[in-house]
Amino acid sequence: MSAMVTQRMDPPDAMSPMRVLLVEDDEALGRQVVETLQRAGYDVDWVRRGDRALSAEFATFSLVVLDLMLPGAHGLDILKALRRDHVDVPVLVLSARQDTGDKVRSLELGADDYLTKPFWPEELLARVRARLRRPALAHGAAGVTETGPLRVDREARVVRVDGVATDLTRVEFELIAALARRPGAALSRGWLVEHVLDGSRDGGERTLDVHVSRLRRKLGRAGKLIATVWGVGYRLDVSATPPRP
Amino acid sequence: MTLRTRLFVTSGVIAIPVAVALVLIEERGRMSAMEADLRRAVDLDLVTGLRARCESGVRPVPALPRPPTGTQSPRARPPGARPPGGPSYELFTYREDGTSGWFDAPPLASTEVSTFWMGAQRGTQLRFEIGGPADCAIGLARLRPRRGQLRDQAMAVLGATLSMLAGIWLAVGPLLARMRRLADDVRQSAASMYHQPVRLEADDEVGRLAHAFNDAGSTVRTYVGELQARERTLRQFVADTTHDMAMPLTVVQGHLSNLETTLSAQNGVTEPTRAEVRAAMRELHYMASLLRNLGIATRLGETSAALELGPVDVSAVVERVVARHAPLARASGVSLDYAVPEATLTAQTDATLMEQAVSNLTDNAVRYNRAGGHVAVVLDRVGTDGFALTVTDDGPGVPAEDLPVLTERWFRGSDARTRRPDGKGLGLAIASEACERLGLTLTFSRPVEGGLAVTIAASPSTVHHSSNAP
Repeated sequence: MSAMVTQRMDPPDAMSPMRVLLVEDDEALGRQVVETLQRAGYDVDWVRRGDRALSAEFATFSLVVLDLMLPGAHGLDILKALRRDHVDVPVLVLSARQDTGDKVRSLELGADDYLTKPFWPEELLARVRARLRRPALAHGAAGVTETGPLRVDREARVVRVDGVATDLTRVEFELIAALARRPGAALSRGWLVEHVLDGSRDGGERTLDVHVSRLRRKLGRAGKLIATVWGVGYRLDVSATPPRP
Repeated sequence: MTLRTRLFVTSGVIAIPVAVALVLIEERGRMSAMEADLRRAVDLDLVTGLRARCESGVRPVPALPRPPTGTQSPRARPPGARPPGGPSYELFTYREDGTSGWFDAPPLASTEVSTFWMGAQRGTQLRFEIGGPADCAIGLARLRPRRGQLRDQAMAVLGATLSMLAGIWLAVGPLLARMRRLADDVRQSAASMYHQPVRLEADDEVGRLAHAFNDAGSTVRTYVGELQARERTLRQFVADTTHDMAMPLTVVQGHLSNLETTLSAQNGVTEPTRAEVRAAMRELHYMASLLRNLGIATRLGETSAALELGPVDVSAVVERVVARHAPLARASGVSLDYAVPEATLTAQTDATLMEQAVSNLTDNAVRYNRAGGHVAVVLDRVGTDGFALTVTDDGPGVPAEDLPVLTERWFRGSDARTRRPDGKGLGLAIASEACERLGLTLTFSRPVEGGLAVTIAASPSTVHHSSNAP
């Protein structure tokens, strides 16, 4: 299964739904985006006119999804006004043009990201989530990753499976720590060889595989959480992460 | 050869033979004039008793004294004197057998009229019968040339030639200079796309040439202007159309995606229904790709397409592209995974071109895979400054002989990838062209496990990375 599907399952903070401001004039597209974001658990305010958007309380939103071609005021002017007021809410710009000028200007004016139409709802959600990724989304306390029976404490350099500390070599610990630092994300073999095996690249990838299979054995029933990703490398599976308290 | 050199050579080639011919004609005329003078003078002397004077034994035989021909002005002639019958000449007398009693007499010529050389100059001599006894039988009259006559003649001809050349030079020189200026002007005018006209100095042939050039230039300008306007209109039309189509496409994509989600969550939905929705998603995805490529192809088709460079988060490009093709991958049963470095990798490049290149490669890798296949997009930092972005698949792959022509527009593989006209060639060609414009290298390779691996690599100078985590 792909990383994207994994992310799809990942709900935003269920306690306080994040508010997203959508500025979009197209009725059908607007409805679509609102529906997509609401399905994903966000609160959406939809403004259809550029001039109306200018008077929005930007600071009360977690994210602004901004179309550029709007009646009343151009998206770039809204962006300019927003940044002039020192509002640092992330802005995701929707562009329907295949040239780059809009995007370059948007980024210069303080946009954080952009998406070119046409797009799948999944693309939009991926960009929204990338912008709203917060420290709170990191699993558990700082330096600690928990998934299923596995608990990796990078600060204390302790790895526990079902509460029992395992005895790992330095390389094995670095390996699980690297995977745990970015849970759910695949890490390329090249990166792992360079950063975990101290860059001893010759025969490195095979050596890496040997270390991984040893690590899996030592982790016992948590070993299967280290997933092999075809063509990429390895990933720490977090789909089995228990709900956070 | 420049016109000036040619002019000099030509006038030399013509002037020198003409001068020589002139000298020869002049000489011939002078000779026959001298001959006529001699004949007249000798006839006069014979009539006035030359024979008697000879027989009287006086040597040399006195000829009738007369002033030299041509130099005498009418006023210098004594009044009443008879008009001169000819020039004064030297007279020698010979015996019947051609010998002379005089020690300094020249050898007797055999013909009546002949020439003799005196230094570098030619004189004329005339042999005639006196009819007297002993050495008064034959006479030879000699007319000497004037001193310096040939030199004067040569000088005259040389002077004429030189003044002719000078005349040509004076007449043609300024003309040549103007033509040089005209050539410079034309070059400048062409460099300014014919906006700067050529100077018109005078209403003569050169002026008319300049005028004709200005006319031609304005025609070219009008024509180019029309072409540019037409191209602008067409490009604007394509841009507007892609823009307008992007909206409904996004909406339909949303509907289909929701439908798919709903169907997969519901029980009692038949597999054919799900397959239909997935097929529709694939076609829609293909339309969206075509639309993007249409926009990009229009940009790449511009003769002077300006790149719009800016700092581009390459990791975000990978995430965006993978998210874009995830629905297609899911609908096709292909697993699509990716990896990006932990720290953001930023490159100074054109975001849209770069993204479309990666998107086309990923699209191909997913589209031409089979159910159960894999596609991986991996971004790795290379050294401290470069990056390598590799799209690998385990699909049917490409025969080795097709690798070099893979990026040719409209190329489609010879086997499994030719099942339908799906514009795959366009996607790869655009990826290749975009990479070329951006200074990125695009390499294809065939992994040992099969399939195809395509790598976009950046030279170190195009990458600026920051260390902050995304």
